[in-house]
Parts: sequence; structure tokens; C-alpha cells
Amino acid sequence: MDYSLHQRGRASIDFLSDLRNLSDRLEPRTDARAGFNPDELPVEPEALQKQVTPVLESDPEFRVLRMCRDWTLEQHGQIAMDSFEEIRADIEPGLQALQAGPSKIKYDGQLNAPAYWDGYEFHKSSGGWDGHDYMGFVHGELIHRRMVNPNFAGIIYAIRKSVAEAAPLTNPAKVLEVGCCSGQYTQGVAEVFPDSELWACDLSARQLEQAQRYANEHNLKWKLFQAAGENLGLADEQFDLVTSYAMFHEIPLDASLANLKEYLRVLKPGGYAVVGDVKAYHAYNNYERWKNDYWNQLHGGDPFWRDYATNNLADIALEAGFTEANWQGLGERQYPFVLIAKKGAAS
Amino acid sequence: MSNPNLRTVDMDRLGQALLTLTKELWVTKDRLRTLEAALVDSGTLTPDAVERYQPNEKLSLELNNERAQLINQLLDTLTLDSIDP
Repeated sequence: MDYSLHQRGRASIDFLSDLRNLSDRLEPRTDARAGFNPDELPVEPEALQKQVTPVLESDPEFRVLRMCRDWTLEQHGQIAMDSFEEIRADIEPGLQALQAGPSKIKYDGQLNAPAYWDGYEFHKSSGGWDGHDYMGFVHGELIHRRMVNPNFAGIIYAIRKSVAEAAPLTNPAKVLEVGCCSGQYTQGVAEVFPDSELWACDLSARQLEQAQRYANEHNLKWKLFQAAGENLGLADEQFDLVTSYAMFHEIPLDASLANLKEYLRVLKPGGYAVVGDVKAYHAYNNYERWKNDYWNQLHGGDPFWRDYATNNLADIALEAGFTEANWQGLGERQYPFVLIAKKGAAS
Repeated sequence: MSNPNLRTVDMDRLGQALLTLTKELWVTKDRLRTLEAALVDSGTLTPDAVERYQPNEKLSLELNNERAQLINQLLDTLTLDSIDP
């Protein structure tokens, strides 16, 4: 829906986004001064941190870079919520109106949220997933579209869509997305499979409501429901495709295995799980791996990042019971990484 | 913070940057408030006109360039002479 930010919100978001982008120019300079040869560094993340981190943290420009990134991480949620409050009276009627339409949400009033989710302030964003009565709009529109997307050269929606495009299926009858959040990947799935019956779930009611607004605005009939991926509450063997994007690095390893077991249960024989997420550590050289680990696991508010990135998701899928599984990066940049796992024809 | 970003040797540069920034911020706030009051008094603007104003393409480009210049000045000040030649 169309909306306009007020001057303070607009200027604050622009400032934050530009500070994040422009301070990036310090990074190659600190890399060059550190002068590490990736081939001479250890592979294992803890050993990497022990060897590389003290060198970088002794560089004054690196500390300024980290201060800028810390500031943007710690401020972005509050700035987005404050920006929303400036325009609440203008847009609230429109947001409420978009909850009526072909897409419905089935809430779970007895939701027993997993411990890893409840109260977790993702990416250090103030308030967590449900910390604001319009957190779906705050996260999906103000944070992702206006702050994150410009830092990825405006291609985050194309990246999401590329995961659905990697699914080895044409026109599946019934598709489920797990961890749909505010519906950003759901949009891509709907574009790739316009004739499929699309179901999508998330633990966050506020994020589901934003997905619902997008769907209703575009006259899309999504079946949205509140559930954990490891406990979908659905009948066996009904989906041709179960998919997710950027969820597995937000959950612990035992939940990843439990998710894949649940996907297997609800998939039809011969169906596929397609899981897109961030790049595996083994696809980086040792120095780039240190950077990825440092900025995400240690300073990005992503406590499960390293566990995800150091374990082969294909092996976890096979352990869950899939008969075939492949996990690799897309394209030259090997980003994102995509698991394609097939359920056996007879299970 | 157990592992601080800024250490004692960074504090003087940070103080300089902060004071420069605060001075520029106040000059801008003073000028903006004065301008708004003058325009409302003259009947040119309604009281919420600035708050609700949406920049056109030309103004957006100008603001983008000036904001980048401001951030780069801040980063330059924070890192000035911080690296031994």
C-alpha cells in the first residue's frame, strides 16, 4: 500500500541506511592492513576468531566500522517503530482494511512457542518479532524494504525468488512455506507458482498479518496459519513442495532436524523440500569465513548462525528420512545456499 | 561492554567529532525552526507543511548527496590520523 513517511522518520531511516552503506568503505582498508593470507589461516571458527579477531580489533578504523554497524543494528528497530508512530493515524485505517480479503489467518490461541523463539530480539531489533502491534509492517516495510534492501543493492526480493525458482517442480498443486514472516519470500513463491494452492505459516501473528495485507492487496488467496515448523498441526502427505527462506539460521540444530522431519511427514510421496538460507562456511575462504562469523554469529544478533553454517543441511535432511538431498549455493556467488531434498516415492 | 569498540586512544577523536556534529546539528535546528516560524507567520506555510512534505526527485537527489557528504565527513573525522603511516 502507498504511504509516505514524515520528515523525521524519512530522514532518520535515510541516515541509518547511508551510514551502514558508506561506512563499508572502511572494511577493505582494514582487510588490507590485516594482510592475512586465507590459506594460512585455520578452518575452524573458534580458532579463526582466536587468531584474526585481536589483529582486526587493534585497528582503529576497524573499531569505528564496528561502532557504526553496532549503532545501526541497535537503533534500526526503534527508529522504524518511531517512524511508524508518526504516520499511524494516516495509515492504520488502510492497514486494517487490508486484513479483509481472500487471504485468511488461522491463529493458534494456545500457541506453545519454542524456547528459541519466545522473546528473541532478532538481529538486535528492538521488540522481537511481535514487539509492536504493527511489527509486520515495521519489519517488512520499514526495516526490510527501506533499510535492508538498499544495502543489498535492491535485490533482496530477487534473491528470495531465486530459491523458489530452484525447486525441481513445475506447477505443484499444493505448496507450503514455513516461517513466512511478513511474506517477502511468499511473494516470490506466488510469482513462480501462480496456479498453486499456497499455504504459509509463522509463529508471529504480527508478521502473518503483514503477509495477509500484501496478499489481500494483490487479490491473492493465501492460507496463512500460526504454527512452528516442527509442529505444523496438518494432516500427512498433502503437499507437493514445502519451502522456506532464511529461517534455518534462526533456529537451533535440533529444531532444523525436527522441521525437516515434519516437512517429510506433510509431503506427498515424491514431494520436495526446498530450503534457502545464507551461505555455508565451507564456501568461503578462511578469512571471509572469519568475517561472516564475526559479523553475524558474534555481533549480528544471530546466535544460531554458526551452527547452521557449519553443518551440512543435506546430511540433516537424510537423517530426517529424505531419500535424496543436495545442499549448494546458487550461481557464481553461491548465494543463497539451497537444500533440495526429495521424499521417496513410497514411505 | 566487555570488549569496547572505542578505547582510550580513540576518545579525543570521538569528542572532536561529537562536538563538530552537535554544533552543525544546532545550527540546522535553529535555522529550520526560525524558517518554519517565519513562513507560518507570513501565511506561506501551514504549521504541519514541513512534516508532511514529500521531496521531489530533484530534492531527493540533493538530500542524498548532502547526507552522504555529512556521513563521510563524520567517518573521516572518526578515523583521521588513526593509522600510522
